[in-house]
This record gives sequence, structure tokens and C-alpha cells, in this order.
Amino acid sequence: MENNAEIHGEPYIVHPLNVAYILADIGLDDDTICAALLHDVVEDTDVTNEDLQKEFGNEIAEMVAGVTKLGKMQFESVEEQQVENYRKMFLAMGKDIRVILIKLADRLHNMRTLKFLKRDRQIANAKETMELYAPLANRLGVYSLKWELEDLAFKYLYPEEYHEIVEGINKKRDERLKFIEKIMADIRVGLKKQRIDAEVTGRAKHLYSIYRKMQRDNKTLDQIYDLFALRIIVNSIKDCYAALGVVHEMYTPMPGRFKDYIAVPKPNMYQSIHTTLLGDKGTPFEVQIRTWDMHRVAEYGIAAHWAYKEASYFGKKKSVKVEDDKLAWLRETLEWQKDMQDPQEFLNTLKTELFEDEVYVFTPKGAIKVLPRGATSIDFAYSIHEEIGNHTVGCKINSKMMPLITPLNNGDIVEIITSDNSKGPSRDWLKFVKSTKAKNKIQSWFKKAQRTENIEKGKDLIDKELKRIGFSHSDLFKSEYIDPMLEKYKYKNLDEMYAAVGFGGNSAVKVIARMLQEYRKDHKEEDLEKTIEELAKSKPRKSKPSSSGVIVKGIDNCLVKLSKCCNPLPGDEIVGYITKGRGVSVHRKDCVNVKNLLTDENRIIDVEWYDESKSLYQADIDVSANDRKGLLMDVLKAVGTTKANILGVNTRTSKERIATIELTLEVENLEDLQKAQRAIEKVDSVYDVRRKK
Amino acid sequence: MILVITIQDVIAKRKEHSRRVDTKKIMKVYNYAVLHHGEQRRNSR
Repeated sequence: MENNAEIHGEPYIVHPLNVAYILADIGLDDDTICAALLHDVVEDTDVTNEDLQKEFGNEIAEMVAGVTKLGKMQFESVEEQQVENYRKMFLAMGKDIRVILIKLADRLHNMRTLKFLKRDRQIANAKETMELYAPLANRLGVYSLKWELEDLAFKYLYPEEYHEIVEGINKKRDERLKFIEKIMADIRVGLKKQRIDAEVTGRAKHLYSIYRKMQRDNKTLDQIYDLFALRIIVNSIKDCYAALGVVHEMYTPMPGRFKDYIAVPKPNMYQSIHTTLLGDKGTPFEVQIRTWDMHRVAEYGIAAHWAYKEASYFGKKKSVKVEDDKLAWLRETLEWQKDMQDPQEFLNTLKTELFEDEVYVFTPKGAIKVLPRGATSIDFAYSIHEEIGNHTVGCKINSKMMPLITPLNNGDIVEIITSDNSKGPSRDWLKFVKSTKAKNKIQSWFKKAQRTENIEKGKDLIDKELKRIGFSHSDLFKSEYIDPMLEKYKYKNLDEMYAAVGFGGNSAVKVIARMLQEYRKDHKEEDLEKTIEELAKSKPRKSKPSSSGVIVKGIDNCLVKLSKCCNPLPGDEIVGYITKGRGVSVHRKDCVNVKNLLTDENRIIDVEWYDESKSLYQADIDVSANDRKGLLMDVLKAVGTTKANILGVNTRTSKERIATIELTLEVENLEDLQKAQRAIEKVDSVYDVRRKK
Repeated sequence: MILVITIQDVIAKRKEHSRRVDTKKIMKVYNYAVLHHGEQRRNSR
């Protein structure tokens, strides 16, 4: 290494070199080293990511892109209670663990040279380091980065306390060193006697750790006894416990100060035995005992995995045993491949989207919201407050006006535009929202705000259904039929039922069907047989088609009606339902109401189309399209090229510019209808054409 | 006194962990970074 270089105003390359060195020191691979050397090239020069891809390949270019993206995240505006979410967002956006490690190394070098910045920047960087980077390094088990990040942040955040501790330690240094060196010498002798091959070293407690302990336990520096401690590194787990036995025999262990992280490792893979012993004059000192493998993992955490995989792949005997399942925090998201031979394959498994079921976005003030993947600004609005959601009229994503249904991405800054004049949420929103909260709040709005309307609408729907099946209100609406229905659906009263039917929370068919269940217990099958007999009486046994073009098997000249709920066409598979007093009602077999009708098998009758019928039939279709000028004209023109005749048109466009065209067509059969549908599908910007069920 | 890291130091440190180091690639990347960072200086950010 060259000496005596000035840092301030130094050539820029010095920084990426230092970052690369830090990563080389913890054992990362060539590509990561290369990405570290290039990590500021895209941001600070004319080089683009495409240039890097061409020169050095996707692997390196993607890592550099990842680091660049993370560099743009604004931590300063994040509120305290949001910090954990911010860490997760950081990881989610990083995608590749090596990107996070490059960012940690980048931050470490910046912290080492922080003295050249102004005080306010020092504090901002130090805060971000203490709250984001150091905890991430801890989570990933990279202690060698973690402690230095912490201590440097501590220096700039609490300079007085920092220097107090440094001075205090320096005062005691000689005294403590003498003490520890004597103990080290004695322990080496003790271990040798037991034929335990070990390295015994001293270690200094890190400054921020000391400070935290003083704050937590309300102690002065003099009362912190493990400012200096010992570390015993051995070759095997068996030797760890043997060494423990030796030191416990030589010195008195302090009660309650023994921790076995070998038997129960920490979530970030850390393993060691910690014990505090009493030396001469009762002076306590701490001892850590671990194997070489554990030492590597303790220092380098997740980065230690590279050394193991590379070492075993290239045949070098360096047994870094990393228990894959110890990294509990990342366990759910990273797929460790224990049997993987090829380090490249192994590295590919680390490129995975963390927290892929969620998306993390910012409010304009920097608060983080966690939403389900695919969530939109509508979900975001309701996550802030129900009233904001209910009054949303638009949104900006990253300062740009966007449709409300645009899916959000990690790191988006979302601003909701509200209006007091807003008529409330749109029913269409229910098709786009992903969060349960948004769905519930929207449905609740429709339920509450339109209760009176919903009750009237519900009554109307119930009456229509009663009419359709040939029942009067007084037939069914008796307490012995109403009460079981109310109980089943947990309605307190009839108004609640009407409101539910009105806003779409329940269907009139289901409600009536439940009441019919009770009704039929009281009215036996005689009615049915009587009806059938009446239908069949004085008719020749030859089947003739009704005017609707449908033949009822075994019954001639009975009243046959094509059901308005599904408008069956020749070509549709159909089923007949014997109504009370209104003949046979013909439905499509895929009609939504047929399911309920089929529960009463006795009323079902076979029907079929009369092949030579030349009647015309009505069919309703819904056309969905992205709204544009001339859309309706084009759709109508398309229908005009087929045999279908247009009986009615109804159009509407949602706030999100989705156009819905309801067409009532007149056709001879199903085939003609399908031809019309296919013609419409070919129209520009049409994306869905469905027959109403 | 501040120690300055060189690319040779980086490669040497890398080699402490692995026998197989693509020195050529690392040097190529380093030279590319030096070329494009050009006369940029590391000032206050």
C-alpha cells in the first residue's frame, strides 16, 4: 500500500478501490469486486448501464444498477416508526444480497472519510448508518462491517460521549492489557496441558457496545468489566466444550453469565460460547470460545458462504460450515441449495425477490406504506384513511398524474388527490384493489351511504324474482319462512336483507330459495303433480313446438317462456323449470339461477329446441374496451357486418377510461351471436366481449 | 497517516480467499473505471 495520501480532493477511483478492498477482505467473488469498482460509474459519469452490459455482462451490470437504485432512496424523511419497513424496502429493492453488501461497504468507506463533510451532512449520514446500515449488517451477520459502522456513526452522533469513552479506555489500557495478557498466557498453558489446539487472542469491546451497555445498565465506564476480553478459537465443537471445561476449572464462572450460542445459534448464524469469569482479586473478564468456521461466519456472516462454496468447488480444503437454516430472518425468502456444486448456480439462487408478496411505497412526507403486490393508488388511499379513500378522484405517482388503477412499485412516492365534491368510490374499484382493507371499506361505503336506495332496490329485485317463479309476496313472506332465512344470513330484520340484496351483497334468488325451502316443507308434491297433469290434459301426445321454438318433452301446447335472466338461444343447452301457474320457464344450463332451481329436481323438465324454428331471439352482450374516439361507431359497424340486428345500446365510461358497451342483439341462433361477438373482438381497443349470463 | 489502497492490494486480498481469481477481468474493470471517472475528485458530498 502507498502511504500518506491526502483524502480530501483525492482521485475519485480511491473510493471504489476501498469499497472493493472491503469486499475482497470478507471473501466476496470476482464479479462483486468488479461491481464495486464500477458502482459509481453510471451515476457519476456518462456511462450507461447498457454500456456496462456490453462490456462486462449482465451479472456485473445488474449489480451496479441495483447499487445505483439503492443510492437514490431517501432515508432522511423516514419517520422513526417506519424504519423497519424502510430496511425491508431496502432489501426488497436490492434483489441481490451482493448489492446490499456493496452498499454496506460503500457506506463504510464513506463513514471512514466523513470528517471532510459539513456537520449537518455528518449527522445525517451517521443517523442513516446507525438506523439502517448497521442493523442490516447485523441481520446479515457481517459483524466485521457492523461494529465499525456503529462505532463510526456513534463518533459523529454523540461526539462527547464517544471521546469520553475513548479517553476512559485509553487510561485503563495498560492496566487492562497487563491483566489480560497474564490470563491469556495462563489459559494457553492450561489448554496445552489438555492437548487442545487453540489460538488465544485478546479482543476489545467496541465503543458503541460499551456506550449502549452503560446506558442500558446505568453504569459508569469503571463498572464495565469486559472492556477487554479473550477469544479462544479451536478446531472443533468438541474442543469448544473441552476448552470451556478448562477455563471453568481455572477460574470461577460468574453465575448467570454463561451463553451457549453454539447449541442455540442466533438468527444471523452467529455461534460462540460466552462465559464471564473472575480473575485475580475478583476482576471479571469475558471469554468467547468458537471454532475457526464459526469465527469466519461471526466476522463475515452471509458473505462467509461464498468462501465455503468457492473453496469446496475448487477443491481447497477450507471447511466453513454454515448451517443454512440458521439465518431465520431471511430463511423464508432465500433458497439455500446445500448440495449445489457450482458456485455460479449457487450465486444465482441469491438473486431472488425478497418480500415478493408486498410492495413498499412512500407518502409525500416520507412515511412508508406496506401494501400487497399489485396494489394500486386506491389501496394506498384507503391505507391512509377511509375518508381519503372515499374522496379520491385522482393520483400522482412520482409526481406524474397516473390512472388510479396503475399497480405500484417499490419506492414509488404516491400522492392522492381528493375532492369534497366526490360522489364516493366507484364499484369498478372493487375489480382493481388488492388490499382487504380497501375492499371492505368500499363495500362498506356502498352499504352505508346508499342504504335507503339499496332497500328499495332490494325490494324491487325480490319482487321480480317472486314474479319470475310465479309466487306472490303473501305466499312466501310469512314469518315461518322469513325467520329461517334471516337467521341463515344473520340479518336482524327484513330491511337489512333488502339492503344486502340491493347493494349486491346477496342475491334475490338465494334469499327466495331459502324461503322456498321452508315453504315446500308445508306444501307437498300434490301441487306439482297437479300442475303437470293440467299441463298434459287433453293434449295429443305428439310434441309440437311452442311459439318460442322450444319443445317440452311429453307435454304439448303448454305455455313456454324463455327466461329473461339468461335469454337462451337455439344452440344453447337448455333446461325447463315448471313454475307455479306460469307454465314452463326455459333457462340456459349455465344460467346463474339454474343452480338454485336444480335443487328442486321434481320441477325440472327436459326441453329442446325445435330445429326448424325460424324465430328471432334476443341476446345481451357486454363489450369492454379502453375508451377512445369512434369506439362505439366501430363496434356498431362490426355488428352490422353480421346477421345480428341491434335492438338496444347502452354505454358508460369509468373514471379510469374503461368503456362498457351493453348491446341487445336480435339473432336467429347461438352461432349468429358468436359471429357477432368475434366481429366485435376484432375492433381496436376492445379487450373483452361477453354474453350476459 | 492514511493508507491508500491500490488495485494490486485488492487483488492480493482477493487471492487470500481463492486460488482462482480472474485478475485480467478485475484489471480490465479497474482501468475502465479509472478512465471514466477521469479527473473527478472525491470532494464533500
